[in-house]
Amino acid sequence: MAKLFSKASEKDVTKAIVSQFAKDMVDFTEVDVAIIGAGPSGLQAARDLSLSGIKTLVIERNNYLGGGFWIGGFLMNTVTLREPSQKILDEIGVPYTEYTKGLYITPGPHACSKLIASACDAGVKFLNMAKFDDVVIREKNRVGGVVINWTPVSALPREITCVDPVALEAKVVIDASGHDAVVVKKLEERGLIKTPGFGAMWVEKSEDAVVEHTCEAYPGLIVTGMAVSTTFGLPRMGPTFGSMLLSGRKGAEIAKKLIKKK
Amino acid sequence: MQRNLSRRNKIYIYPSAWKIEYGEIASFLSELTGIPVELRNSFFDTFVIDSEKLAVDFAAARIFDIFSTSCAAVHESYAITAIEKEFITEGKPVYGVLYDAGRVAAALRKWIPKQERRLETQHIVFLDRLIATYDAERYHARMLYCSFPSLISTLGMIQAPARPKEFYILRNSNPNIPEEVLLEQFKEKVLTYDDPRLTEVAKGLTLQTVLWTNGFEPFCKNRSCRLYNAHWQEELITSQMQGKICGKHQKIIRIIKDNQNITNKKQ
Ligand SMILES: [Zn+2]
Repeated sequence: MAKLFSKASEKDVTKAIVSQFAKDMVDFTEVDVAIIGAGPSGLQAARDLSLSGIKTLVIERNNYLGGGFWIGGFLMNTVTLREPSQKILDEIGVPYTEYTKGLYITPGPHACSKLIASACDAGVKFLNMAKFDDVVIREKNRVGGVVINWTPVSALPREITCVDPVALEAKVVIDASGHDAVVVKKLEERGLIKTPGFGAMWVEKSEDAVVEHTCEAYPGLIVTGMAVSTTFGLPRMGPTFGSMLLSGRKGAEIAKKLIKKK
Repeated sequence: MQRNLSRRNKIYIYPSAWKIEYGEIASFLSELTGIPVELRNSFFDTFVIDSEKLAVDFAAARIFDIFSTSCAAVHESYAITAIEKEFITEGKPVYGVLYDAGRVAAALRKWIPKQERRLETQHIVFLDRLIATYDAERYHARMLYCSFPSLISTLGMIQAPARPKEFYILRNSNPNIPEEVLLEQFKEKVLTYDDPRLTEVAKGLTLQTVLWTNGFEPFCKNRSCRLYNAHWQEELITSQMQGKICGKHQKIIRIIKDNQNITNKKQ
């Protein structure tokens, strides 16, 4: 019987993986935009930027991409979006139904996989299982890149964690790391920015608030998605996925302007 | 009842981005009180304002804990002042944030030129931001804040007076249902974001600030008077849409108008 697969030795497979990854890694050392977090806002921002020809790298600490977009509330994988964010589903080719006026539902796996795929199609590069460690600060206190390490390093016992990270240069960094807001928190540790922390602010229109507050929160650093909520102490209740997508889109617009200015 | 009213030479109204018939409000006030009313551009567009400085003040007026008056200890926060500056220069509504009304009024007052910073001149600023005052151990959202200048919160008209109990029961039973969808269901009983009734409501609120400026109690106990201090949306809508002013307040308004006529003649 003829063999189904073509011939490849173990060493060829290993070589293929390592050489391509090394090549990519060298390429990543300098990007236009580095995005921390591959949740819906990070993916959306990355997709929009790449479609505009901007070299974009997404750094994700998990092995999978998509963040919380796979699943809706209460472990139920129906994702809700509100007018006008369903237009993004149209763009990436995801079917949805109108549940009540202005409220749309779509299967999480379908929406999430298509968003990832469309980001890949646009040319976004991903580095997963890599964790944000620190920011690179440039002249005039501007954020100019990120310091990263492999995710498993942080799980190592303390006595063997002297594993140095590496730094990547970026013209703009986007903190799309969710409620953790890891980049913002790092700046706060250094006394460069202050966040009010969580507080019960006014919950109405909180989805609008997340999009409205998406901005360059520090020179060279843009916040999107739930990281916006943490940075500005916005209400935690309310935001469905629409605000994540539209916040990502707004973040991309701001990044484009910043890159043009430079 | 106060008799020795000071002369009012002008009421200035500063509209916000919201669709309200501000011209209608201006004629309503001038016809009723005899005080000349001028409709200006938005507050931020009328005066020469250092948006950077105003942004710092707005940032410091943000309430993060409704049970504490300490407001935001974030004056120097780059992020918050930067975004406040953007809101000021772009004149966009600010959602999801509660501001201390007194601090906001004080922040705006700084930018009113000296010649207009007099008791004779009243300023009514419409703001697309939610304002609140601290009272009985916590902050409460407000529709208006009587001060110099007086503030009227467009978002406050929608969010400050309570909605029918069923509204909250429904919202709590399904937090995923958008606010707008629920509002649509209750639209007879509550004000919605682009409600045509907002103009009528705003008229009553501006009248309240005029009374306050002239030294009278701005709120009425009579439920059908449009100076009634409504705590429920339904009360607000009925008192304002009927357009009635109670006998006691008609008299007070006449005093203001008569005083105005006398001073107008003197001039
Ligand atoms: Zn009355």
